[in-house]
Amino acid sequence: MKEKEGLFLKGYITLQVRGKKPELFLNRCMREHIPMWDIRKLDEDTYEFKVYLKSLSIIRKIRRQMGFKISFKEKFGLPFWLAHLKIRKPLVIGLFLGLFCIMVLSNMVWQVKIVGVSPEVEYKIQERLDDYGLKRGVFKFSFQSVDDIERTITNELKDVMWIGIEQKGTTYIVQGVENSQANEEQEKGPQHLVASKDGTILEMLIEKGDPQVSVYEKVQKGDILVSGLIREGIGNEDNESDEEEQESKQHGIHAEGSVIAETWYTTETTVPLSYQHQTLTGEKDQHYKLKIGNFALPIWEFIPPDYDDTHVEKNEKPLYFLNYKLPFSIEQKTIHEKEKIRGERSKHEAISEGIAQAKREIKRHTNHDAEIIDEEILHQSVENGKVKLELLFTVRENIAKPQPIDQGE
Amino acid sequence: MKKWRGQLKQWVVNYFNLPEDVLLDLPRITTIGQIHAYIENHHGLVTFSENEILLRMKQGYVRVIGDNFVLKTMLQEEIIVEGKIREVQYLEDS
Repeated sequence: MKEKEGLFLKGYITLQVRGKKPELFLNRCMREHIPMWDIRKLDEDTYEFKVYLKSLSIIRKIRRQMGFKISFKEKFGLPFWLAHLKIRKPLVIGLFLGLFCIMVLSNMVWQVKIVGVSPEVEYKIQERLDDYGLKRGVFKFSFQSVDDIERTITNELKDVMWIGIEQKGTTYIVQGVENSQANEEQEKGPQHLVASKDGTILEMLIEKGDPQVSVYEKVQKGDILVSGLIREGIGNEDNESDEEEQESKQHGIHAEGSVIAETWYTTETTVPLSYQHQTLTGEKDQHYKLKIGNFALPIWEFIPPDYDDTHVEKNEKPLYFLNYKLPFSIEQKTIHEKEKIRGERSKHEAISEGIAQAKREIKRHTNHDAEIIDEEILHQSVENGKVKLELLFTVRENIAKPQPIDQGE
Repeated sequence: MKKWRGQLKQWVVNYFNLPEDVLLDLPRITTIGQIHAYIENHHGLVTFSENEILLRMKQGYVRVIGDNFVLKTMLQEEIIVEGKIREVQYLEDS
């Protein structure tokens, strides 16, 4: 029975042999080792039997020698189907085209949903997403990685605290969390305003509270600028009341306001006279590859660019068929041209560069409303090809810092 | 001479307790109920019809009689007959 395995793959034919004494024909086939099965006699000189497709050529030869009539009755198996499909080419082409369409469409972005934010912010996010290429009708592998988009949008938009992009099939759901104003006004408890730094007060704008200092006064870090403790008795002094009572009638309020003061910073910076750094020239090349396991087939841009120095970004996106991940993925490779810049600068240039550096440093450490009003070089020296600077900056900034009053007593 | 060799074979089979069909080239017919008959060591098909199958053996013929015969497989050494088997006959060379 082993002979009859793989019927479907090999394909078989039902034959009818007609002639005098067809047994002779069968005997002959048997001697030629042709597997035959389901042999039955239809009438006196006709037999019906089945053989494999591959035996057909030998049977033809035998027929020619012995002079029997053979007719084909039924064909079964994959080889015949394939032959059949060859005739129906449009059907096959249509089928593949259909599959291809489904595959292409499964790899497109059909919808970008923004949820959890107000319409105003939604519009802003929408704009950014469009800029980065995440919009309806593009291919999933055409834009940068979702993580990058999340990060840049979160950084760019001040009124958005966090953004998360989730992919669900062909839909991208962008979840945003707005920076809510409620956070700031959460605590209305009693508080003082204290100095966050040493400085000389230039201006005071007190909305609530009892000022403890005056303009042009020097304060030190930690000094109370505006007190949140107010005596209640002040308004009605007519009432006779003793000191002790007044003392106890003190009550805390939420001191508010800003105290602008002049503060000083000394910084030390060193600037080398010769410098070297790398920048991207802006020239770039996009390469796409179809990856199947470890094998990569280039689809677009086969020739690597002739850049001297390169910076390569790789991005791999899986391909989908409907919701199923295929074992292929598209690799997007961006090759940027890199350039090394080397140069020398004069002492003068180095000093101005050092000052600019120090200013950036201060900006980073102070509030954004701080303003540098003066700078002074305290000390400068050139050592081992480096300029060493000691700088003093005078900065105008708000030094009021809220400090809650403990009422636990 | 031929007879002498046949006798020797017979003796070997008896002495070594070997299956006869292998050495003596005798037909081996296995039937499964009335449904199937496996016929091995045949020497060709003589006649085949719905009710009868006649096979040549080394000596003589084997005839199987029944109804609705279909040859399930036909190989050089083995034939499988399917149908309703009624009789198995051994015919001497005539």
